[in-house]
Amino acid sequence: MTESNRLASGRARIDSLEMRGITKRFPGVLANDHIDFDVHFGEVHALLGENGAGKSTLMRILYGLYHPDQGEILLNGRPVIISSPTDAINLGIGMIHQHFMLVQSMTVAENVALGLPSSRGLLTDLDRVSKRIVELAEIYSLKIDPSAYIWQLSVGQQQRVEIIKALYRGAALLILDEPTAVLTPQEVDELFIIMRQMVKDGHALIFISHKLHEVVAISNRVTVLRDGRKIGTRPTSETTKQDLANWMVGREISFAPDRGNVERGEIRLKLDQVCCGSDRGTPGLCDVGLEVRSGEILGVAGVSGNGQCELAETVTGLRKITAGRVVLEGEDVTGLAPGELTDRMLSYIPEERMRDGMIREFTVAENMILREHHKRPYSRFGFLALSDISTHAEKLIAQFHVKTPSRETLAKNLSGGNIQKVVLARELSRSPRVIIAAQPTRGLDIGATEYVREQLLEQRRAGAAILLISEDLDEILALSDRIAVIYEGRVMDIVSREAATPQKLGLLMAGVHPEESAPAT
Amino acid sequence: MDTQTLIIGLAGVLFAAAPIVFAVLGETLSERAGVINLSMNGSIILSAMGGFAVAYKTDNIFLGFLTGMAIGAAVALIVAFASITLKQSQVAVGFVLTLVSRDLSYFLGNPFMGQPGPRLSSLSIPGLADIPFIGPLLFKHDLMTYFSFLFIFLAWAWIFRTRPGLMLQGIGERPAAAFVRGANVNRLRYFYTVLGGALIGLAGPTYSLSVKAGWNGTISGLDGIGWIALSITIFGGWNPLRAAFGAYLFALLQWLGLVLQPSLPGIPSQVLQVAPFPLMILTLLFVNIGNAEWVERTLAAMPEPTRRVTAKVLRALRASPPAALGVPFERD
Repeated sequence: MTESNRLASGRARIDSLEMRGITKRFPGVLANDHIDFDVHFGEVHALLGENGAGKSTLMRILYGLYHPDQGEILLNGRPVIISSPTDAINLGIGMIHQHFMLVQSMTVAENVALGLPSSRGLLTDLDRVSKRIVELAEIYSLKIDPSAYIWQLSVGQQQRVEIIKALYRGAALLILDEPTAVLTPQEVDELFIIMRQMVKDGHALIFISHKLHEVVAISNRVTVLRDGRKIGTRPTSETTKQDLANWMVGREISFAPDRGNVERGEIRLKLDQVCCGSDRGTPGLCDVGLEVRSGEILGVAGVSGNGQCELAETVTGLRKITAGRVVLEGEDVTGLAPGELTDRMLSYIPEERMRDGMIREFTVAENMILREHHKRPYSRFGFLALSDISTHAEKLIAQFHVKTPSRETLAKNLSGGNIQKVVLARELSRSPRVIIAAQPTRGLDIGATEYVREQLLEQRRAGAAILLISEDLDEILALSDRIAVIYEGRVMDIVSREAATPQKLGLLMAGVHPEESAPAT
Repeated sequence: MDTQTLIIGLAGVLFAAAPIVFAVLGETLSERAGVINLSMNGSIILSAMGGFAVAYKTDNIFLGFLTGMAIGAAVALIVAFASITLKQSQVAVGFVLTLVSRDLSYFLGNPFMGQPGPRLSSLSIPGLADIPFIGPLLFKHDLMTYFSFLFIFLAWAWIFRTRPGLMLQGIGERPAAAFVRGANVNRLRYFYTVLGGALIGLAGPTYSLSVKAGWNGTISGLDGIGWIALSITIFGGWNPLRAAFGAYLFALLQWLGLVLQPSLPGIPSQVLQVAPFPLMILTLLFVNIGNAEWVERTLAAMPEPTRRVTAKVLRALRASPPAALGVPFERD
């Protein structure tokens, strides 16, 4: 417990920071509506809310990237004006951006030194910078090599560079904007260790997130924002995940959707000893065999990088199969092009929705007709039937509750959750017989996640066969009828939902063969 | 060939390469900041004509060079305005300007065709010029060639050894990161594009007042130099030292063509004149060979120690443009 007012890095700590009555308007939307927010030294204060709730806006005001229309900021009781990131940095406020502001081709030391005054005037003094980086890394138990190039570093390591950048400039208060969005579970744990160390040292941390379990794990207090307004602030120990979720969305959220009992029908999709290559450095598939029946969700669980991408790609015709067969409703479809699989009523919800699921420069309406655009009624004699396309789009926008200014809005301007809704609308409204869903709720907030899961269950009720590939074990357990675990390109085992426990699945996901694990008596 | 002739020949290579060095350094600076100045070919011709015209009229060589720089800077300013403020395609704007500048120079330069004009004189450095071998090679040049040596070093030191140079790398690679660090990205881009343009504008008069003295319109032999300078910039990996090496390589190939001509009577003179151009293109292809898929596959199949060494060599050869080259910057 440090007695003095100095942090280990030598800078004075910030005792308290208060934002009072902050209001910010953008054309057409009130992003922040008279929000009060405060944080003091030695605590992690989480800022929780759905996408679009106003969390990022509030923090950008604190960091000087935006100016508030109303309200004031008080540092240690004194009102301050923050009109640019430079002001914020001078006051000791640092920000770890969600999308790292790092130059890939430069080294760690160069990135830290960028824009800073040098001890040698015009010339750079990278040696001195490197030395200081190593000092700071020691103090905060970070592991970083100042001479490494950013492109050589993993995502978790790059984030540590961002943290060092802030600490180097003497940050006493750090704003972490959705820091875990790009990290593996292992890297999240490492980040939390660093955060706890900084808190112990006397820093104040603001943790922006929409992931409940992380907020509950790391924060001392939590503030929930919804639609630009503050719903409340509580000590984290006095809240439950259910409370927080309900506050975030404004209604009762169900974590365990009702699966209900559905009649299982004939085998619709079958993989028979499928093998394929890989160009990501991860193993390709090896002797993969599985079956999905009508009215069933087969969940494929596994740690990221064990062949999930390759699995989705082979089944949807995007990757060449080197051995084995894919059988769709009794027909051998191995080697067919994706378009031919589409014609056989296969739908695909891709993992990278921005890249593979839609065309950013196309409008919402155009994205919604993508698979069938060349067929009637959307296309007649080679010409697009614009009025039919519009009607179709309006219908789907209403049906799937897509929040968009209009059907002519460009897809790239929609939020992540609404982009996924467009993809779902297109893929599911055609009453597919087989659905491949890869990481369907990745990056989505609570409300959107609930919606996507409901839709998948709806399709299951309608008799579709669904192959669900997800790294979120909770999701697999919530939705699947049977669970297959993939490890290094092989299917370790397929168990029924009733027989599956997180422990059992965890062992399989780590590569422990089912026969090797001690039988539970 | 005896040593004496060889050294004089090599000195001639350094002399002839000086304008290309200026052009290449200018373009490197501009592209490091993220702006492609495709008007280089026309800029060089226009500044050559303009520089010669002013020097001829005023009988002041110094003014001629200044005029050239001003012309180069002015053309670059148009490129900068169109790319940075209007956010138009840099390639399209540069291309149009290159054609316009060239044709403008032929049109405006008519009265000066074939006129004898002032010529930069040689400036031996006393003492140093007497050193055997190195003396005549490096120290018996004219002012512009000395400047070309100096600027290579200055440009390299600026980009890689100074604080503002680090920021320059930043605005070309990841302007958002530089912006968050307090850089006024667009203002800096204007600055470097115009500065680069001034350097390019120095190349023209270096031809018309020194290397290829006089203005001869369409047969001045300057048409095409800008394009080769562009490819040398890429070959140079946006590094002044390597780019200068490319410039000297090109000039060397041109000189070799001249030298070998008498010993190869069967080959028409045009072939040897043109040969340096495709040779430079081949060099460019070779330098980026690491990107080819078959090379990547062969690399993956090699045993580990060999693979690591080969990969390092290929990576050192490879020239990657600044990541934000050609992309207008907008703060969100």
